[in-house]
Formats: sequence, C-alpha cells, structure tokens
Amino acid sequence: MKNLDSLFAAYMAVWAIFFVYYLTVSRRMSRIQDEVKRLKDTLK
Amino acid sequence: MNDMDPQTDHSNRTPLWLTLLQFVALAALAFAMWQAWRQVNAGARPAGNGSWMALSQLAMLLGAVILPMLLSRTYRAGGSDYLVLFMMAAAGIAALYIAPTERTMGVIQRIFYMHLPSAASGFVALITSFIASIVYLRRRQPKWDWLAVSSAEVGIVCFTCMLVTGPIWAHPVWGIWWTWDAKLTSTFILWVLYIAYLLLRTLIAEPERRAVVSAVFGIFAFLDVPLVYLSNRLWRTQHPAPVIAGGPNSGLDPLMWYVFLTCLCALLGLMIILVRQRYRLEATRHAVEEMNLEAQLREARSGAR
Repeated sequence: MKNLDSLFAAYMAVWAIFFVYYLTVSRRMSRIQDEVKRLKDTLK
Repeated sequence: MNDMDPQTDHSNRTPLWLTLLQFVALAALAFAMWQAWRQVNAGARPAGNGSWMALSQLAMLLGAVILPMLLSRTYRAGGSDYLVLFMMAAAGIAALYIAPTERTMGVIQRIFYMHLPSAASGFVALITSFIASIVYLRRRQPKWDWLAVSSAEVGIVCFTCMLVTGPIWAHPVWGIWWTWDAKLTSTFILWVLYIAYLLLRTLIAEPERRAVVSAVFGIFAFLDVPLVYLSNRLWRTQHPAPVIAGGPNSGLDPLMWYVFLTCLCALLGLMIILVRQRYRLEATRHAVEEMNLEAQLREARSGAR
C-alpha cells in the first residue's frame, strides 16, 4: 500500500494540533485561575 | 457557577501526569487505528483474530472510553463533549475503514476526510469571529470581543490543520509540497492575517481600545475569506476544483458523503468545544483585569489616608 505513512502522518498531525492547542488553553486557564486566587486573597 | 465570575473554581488545574496520560491515550488510539488499517489492507478481515487486530480494536475501544474520562477531569465536560470525542473516534474509524479507496489517488485521498472538514470548521469559526466583531462595534459589550478573539484563535488552529494536511496530500499526488497558486496563496495570507490579529491584541494594553482596534482589523482580515472560498472556482490553477458544490462535474460517492459528513460533524463539534473553552479563558482574564483595577484603587485609597 503506497503512501500509508503520509496518511498516518496527516491524521497524527491533525490530532496533535488540536490537542496541543487544547492543552495550551488549559495551561493558560490554570495560570489565570492562580492569578484570580492571588487577587482574591489580596482583596480580602 | 458563573464562568465570568472571579469566584471561579480553582481545583480545575491540569496535573502534568494527566496531560502526559492524555497524549499516551491519543497516541495509542492513533497507533491502533493505523495498525488496524494496515492489517485490513494486508488482507486481514476487520474482525480477524490476528494479535495486531485484536490489540488495535481493544486500544480503539479504550481510547474512545478513556480519553473522554481523562478530559472530563481537566475541565467540566458535559454530555455534548463526550459525544464530540466519540464522534472524533468514529470519524477516524470511518475515514480509515469505511470510506472506499479512491481509484486514481489511492489511500492518500483519505486525507480529504480531515483536510476539508478542518477548512469548513475554520470557515465557521472565522465567520463567527467576523459577526462577533461587527456586533461588538455596534453594542460595545465585552462578551462579543471575547467571542471574536476565541473563534479567531480556534479558526487559526483549524486552518493550521488544513495547511499541514494539504502538503502531505499534495506531495505524493502533485509531486510537490507547495505551490503559490490562487487557493494556497490566499489561504496562507488568511492564516497570516489572523496571526497578525492575535499579535495586534497583545500590543494594546487598554481593553476597550484593544477590542475596537481588533474588531476593525478582524473585519478587514475576513475580506480574504470569500476569496479563499472562491479562488478555485474563479481560477483554474494547481489546486483541484471543488468536489462539493463545485458545479455539474463535481460530487462524491454516497458512502464517501456519509464519511465526510461524520468527519465534518466531529470537527465542527470539536471546534465549538475549543471556542467555548477559549471564551471561558477570555472571560476569566477580563475578571482578573477588573480585580487588578480594584486592588490598585484600594491601594491608592489607603495611600491617600
């Protein structure tokens, strides 16, 4: 079967791009929530 | 709990081990699907008893069950999120197993089932960003700015998928990775324009001014979207004519249609989940800006006393 490696690479790339993006959003969310916690302590 | 409220839940952190486990689950799912596909093409029956086949099917099942469970721990996932993740798994299986092999291009044509749905999801995200920018300029409500930036960012991700899968498909079929034809060039320009949109937002500190400037730029950047859509209809260059809604000579085999629709629904669903998650981030960021302002005011008041 020709080009199976390219097909695999394409599908892996799509999965990887979406999940790396999802993880970057999660990381940013964690950081901003830490900031909220810090500010809430300051404003108490 | 209100997502825009500073009283947000802080137990929502993603531990590193969970992140790594997500990647392992994903890699297992992809590898299993790949091996299963190889076995099918080597003459094995999909329900065969070969060790690779059994392992692949088990891994696919586990991936489809475990992955949503892992994701549900990283953020408050609902029923629709699980449905989308199952659809993503189903889309992968349908594209690799069920769709018939195209006669001239062979198996590489199966990239189509990720390439075109990525583009379609990207278009929907950018149209959302465009509408949200217009509404923001009219109403000046921050939520429209949050929606505009969230959908623009997710649109870029979708177009990145399209721009990555395109050359992988083009190389064995055209003999080249890339060419500056009308479709590819206008798509690349669109991608660069929206990267510039995100960079522009980082340069302006004042929230209202940032929202206005980026809404105007977002509307300008969107002008390239119709050009991208029409480019292979108006000019016949390297990129093939559209197979869907492309005139009397276009069309798909009925089974290919069903597989394409499965993949399209899965990617649209994933796009919506990502926009929603990104919108929550933007709303929380706005809450932080307000809290910072309040902290500064309190400091100034206590200094004046």
